[in-house]
Amino acid sequence: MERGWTGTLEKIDDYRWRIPTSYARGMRVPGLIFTDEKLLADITTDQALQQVANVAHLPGIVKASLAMPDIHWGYGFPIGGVAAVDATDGVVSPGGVGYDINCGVRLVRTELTVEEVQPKLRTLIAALFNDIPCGVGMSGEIRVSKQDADRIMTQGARWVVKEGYGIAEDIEHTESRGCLDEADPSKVSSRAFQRGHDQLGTLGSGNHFLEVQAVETIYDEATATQLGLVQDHVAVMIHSGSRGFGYQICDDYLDVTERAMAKYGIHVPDRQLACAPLRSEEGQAYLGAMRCAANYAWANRQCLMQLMRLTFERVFGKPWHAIGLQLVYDVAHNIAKFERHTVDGRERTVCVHRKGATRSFPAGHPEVPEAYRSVGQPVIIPGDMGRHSYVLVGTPTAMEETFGSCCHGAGRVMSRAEAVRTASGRSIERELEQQGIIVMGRGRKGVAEEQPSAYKDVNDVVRVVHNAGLAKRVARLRPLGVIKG
Amino acid sequence: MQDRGYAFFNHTADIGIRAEASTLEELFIRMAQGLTELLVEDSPLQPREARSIELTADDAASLLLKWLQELLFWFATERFAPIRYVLTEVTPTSLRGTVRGERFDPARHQQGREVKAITRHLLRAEPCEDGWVGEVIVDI
Repeated sequence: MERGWTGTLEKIDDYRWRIPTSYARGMRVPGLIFTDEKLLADITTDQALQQVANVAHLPGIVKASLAMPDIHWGYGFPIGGVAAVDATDGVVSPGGVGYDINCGVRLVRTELTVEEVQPKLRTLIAALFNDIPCGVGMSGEIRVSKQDADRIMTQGARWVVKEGYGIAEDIEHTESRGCLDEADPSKVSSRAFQRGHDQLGTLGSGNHFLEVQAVETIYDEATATQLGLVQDHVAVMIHSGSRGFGYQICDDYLDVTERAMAKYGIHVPDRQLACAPLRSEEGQAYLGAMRCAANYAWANRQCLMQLMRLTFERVFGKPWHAIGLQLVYDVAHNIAKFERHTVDGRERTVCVHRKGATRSFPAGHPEVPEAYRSVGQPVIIPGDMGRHSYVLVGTPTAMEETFGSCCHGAGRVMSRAEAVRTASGRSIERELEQQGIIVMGRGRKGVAEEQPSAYKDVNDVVRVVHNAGLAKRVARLRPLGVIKG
Repeated sequence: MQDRGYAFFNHTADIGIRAEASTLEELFIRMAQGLTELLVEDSPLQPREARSIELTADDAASLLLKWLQELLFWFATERFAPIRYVLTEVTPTSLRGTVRGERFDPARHQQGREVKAITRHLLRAEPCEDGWVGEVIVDI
């Protein structure tokens, strides 16, 4: 099924490659790929780079169709892609955000040391696995009425905090303060409501997880201190999104935008790049619904974090704030947002699609929370469950070159079937346990499919973004225990 | 093609379902069986509940997409897993019939993958030498 890509690729420097506009007729801008020789070998094994070139056809796209080092083959857009379009004559594409709208990651620090947690680790992971709804067929404990649903869609994490799931400071430490304005519940289908009504505060399955981690390495002491990260302390990372609610909204609007393309005479090389002019009725409807899902996702991660805090309270016998369970930051990595960026020497408003890419704003930017304004926005990059995860901060280089964006994770290299095959006869859980990592998952195949070797080495991916200057390494974390759906 | 009538194929982060059949009706049933295996593996399912379904689309591929989307929606919202299909009408642009199955029960059934969506990526349902062939990639 899969075959390698053999198109034109020009090396710019050790971390930048270009697909020139001459590669395919209709490309409005070049493709720009951030990678190195080693990762490029994986990237060219499938059609991800063709997708980078296809995205360059989108009406209104400015500067370049960008790809991060964790890029892999997606639907229409590559996963690990960034595309900014002009706010007046550009288009918005549901495929440029993805099915899991506002899938993202949050990191919570603690005052607990690895030494203190280790004796209770198994109890802690089992308690988290028990308390946090995850896996297929699990409903959340949080019941949402129609009226509540409207508030979640329009107020996001802010509303669940008002309802007691967390504190005001959590909101300050969330991208976009946990809520996008101009969310429009009237643009959300009843099917999306039906898929979302009992999933708030649920982790989901697939690559979603909650991980207890140790702060293993500090690269930048001053910045780490500012973010509250201390070597050998324990932290918790949560990776989840908008659940069935967001999946359904994406699906609904792939249909709407596909019809809109014929209506507005838009031609793109792939059906899954379906898009609509930002200023059209269809484009506005998608944006209104997409923001509802983004807000739902922030509310979801906020609820998950609060459930986790309560489990820690029970296991350690102290109030969560007494053990310092503070939110470091929450980032979205599947989203479209209007932002101000400099293009061709002129500052203008663009709609930035980040599909498997993390915002990476530099120190001084008004969107960076006050507590971090002097160091830059925290960029949280999860790895696989056997290796590492990273905290970085955004940079001016990202602002200049990638609309303030950076990678989002390790990126898959092995198909799910291949992963299950290589795991046959082995117990991935036992192997990880021998490395001191406790894994609890529901599905028989879930853990095998998500095994470490199914992913690129996140260390390689982060080295590229650090060396290319798209974000600056602050700390590396290693997993102690993982729960998966 | 394996005995069960459908097969899975790889797509980096996700899974494809492929089937061939002598009739379009059989193709739709095999693709549905493939989806069900992804959702609940080989769990023993009983035809306890019946649901009727009626769909129209512009072409066979779009109809296949709608068919699988509907089955996924039933599973996502009501945990309904299908096992028996009686399709009284299947043309490349319309489908009508009854689907029987039961609600997923964690005590008796095995959890499979959380399927986020049926994608349009490389989607096809078209005539082939021996009948019909279909392919779809599901987002995990």
